[in-house]
Amino acid sequence: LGGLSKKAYRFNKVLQAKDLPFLILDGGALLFKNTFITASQEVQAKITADGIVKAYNLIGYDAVGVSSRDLAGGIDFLLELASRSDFAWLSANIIDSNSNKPIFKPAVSMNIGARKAAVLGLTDTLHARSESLGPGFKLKSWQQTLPKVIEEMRSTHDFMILLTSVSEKTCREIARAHPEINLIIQAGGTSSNQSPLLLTDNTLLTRTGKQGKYIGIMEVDWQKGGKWDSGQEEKLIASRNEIDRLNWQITRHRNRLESKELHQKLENRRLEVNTEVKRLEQELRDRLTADVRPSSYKSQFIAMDISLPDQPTVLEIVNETNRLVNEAGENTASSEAVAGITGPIGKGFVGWTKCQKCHNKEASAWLNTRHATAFLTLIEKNQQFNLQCVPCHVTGIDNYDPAGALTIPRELQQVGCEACHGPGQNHLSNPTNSTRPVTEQICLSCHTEEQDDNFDFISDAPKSH
Amino acid sequence: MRKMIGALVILSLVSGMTVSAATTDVTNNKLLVIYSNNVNGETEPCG
Repeated sequence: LGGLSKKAYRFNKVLQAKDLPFLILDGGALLFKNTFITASQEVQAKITADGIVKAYNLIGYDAVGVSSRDLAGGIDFLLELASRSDFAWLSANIIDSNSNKPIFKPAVSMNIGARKAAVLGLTDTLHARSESLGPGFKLKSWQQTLPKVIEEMRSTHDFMILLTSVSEKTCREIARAHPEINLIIQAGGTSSNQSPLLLTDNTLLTRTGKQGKYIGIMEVDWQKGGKWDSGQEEKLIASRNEIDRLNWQITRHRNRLESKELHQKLENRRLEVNTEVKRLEQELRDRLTADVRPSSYKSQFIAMDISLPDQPTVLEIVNETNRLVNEAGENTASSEAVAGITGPIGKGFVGWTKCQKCHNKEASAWLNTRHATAFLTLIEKNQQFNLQCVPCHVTGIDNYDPAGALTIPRELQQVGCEACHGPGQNHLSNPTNSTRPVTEQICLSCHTEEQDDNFDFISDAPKSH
Repeated sequence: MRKMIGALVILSLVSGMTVSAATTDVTNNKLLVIYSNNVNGETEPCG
């Protein structure tokens, strides 16, 4: 959520710098971290989702894809959010069982300059299933739904974009079946930026990675009816260079008896590359005589660096959302305290002061680390009741189901010994019972790429005491 | 721009040239797609 005000700032800068007709789109997976939310997370997760929609309204998004992750709060919740969205939520394959019609818009038509673009949405069927949508809704496959939408739009639009959270494999299948789609923006469980990848001559696939910390900018020079330039010139240069290298190697190995096998391999490779060169040369000759020149694009990813300025009005929304999230957590904490919920106490956690009695040297060293004041940083930011933050700033709380995190007792209000070594009760009652080994996986559950992309287990783990 | 096209039209009438004003805008085919995805995974570093 924090990066939204920086995104807004960058979007404005890009639009000022390039005086071109534009579209602002999101592939999907914008509201929730997972495909489900637990009961303890629900209130705060929904406040956050609401804040994201408000920020998207201000930024001026045109359309977003509905991903299975956007359905984690329930379809009714998403419909309610959609009613307050100034942008379109797109999904061709979430269907009303009674009317057999799509619940969200399957596509929108947008005028961009002199051109007309169709933007379509398709929800992944990997995580979202018909039964998880609740009664009255069905999730259909792309084969059952997409062809009809494409057929309706194809003749009246110059450019077609698909926003989807289906896998890359499925994107390839769709691209093969529907050359009408020019660009696919993919969301979902991906971890890295995907530079535009030519799936077919007609269809490019792109996505930003690193959990939303990048924005993608694509400047398209679109020739109606044309195919994408697949970089034949560059391929031709590379192939000719390879032939030069092969010629040199072949001459070198020709007269050496012991290199006979290698020599043959090089000859075979030269034959292959020669064929490729001839094919590329022919393609380029064909292009010169064709009526339509290929479409081209320039693509870049911009990282949302912490040093970027914030767009003030979006920052206000981010701050207000964080405040509401913390307030909701505080209210829950009060009612949980009344109900006698006491965090992970009773689950074998004893607190660092018990460990200190025998492991004083380690405990003293730990007191000088940031682990020892991890919870304090949340109090300073007024986020000590934010369940998205608390699990990694305390001891004994599960990231995925942070039940009890809001009533964490004082002795566990930091990343203590047991956060890494596991519950200490057994070891305390009998020191021959060893604690669990500290593995990289344990550290990575909090030192994620998103929160700490410089973490290195070998060098950093020993620094914890 | 309007004056320029006007001048060309007059010139064409005088000289019998054919004028096409439709291709004068070179940005006609260009568009900018700004996009994001997986914003859900993003959080401000908590502390």
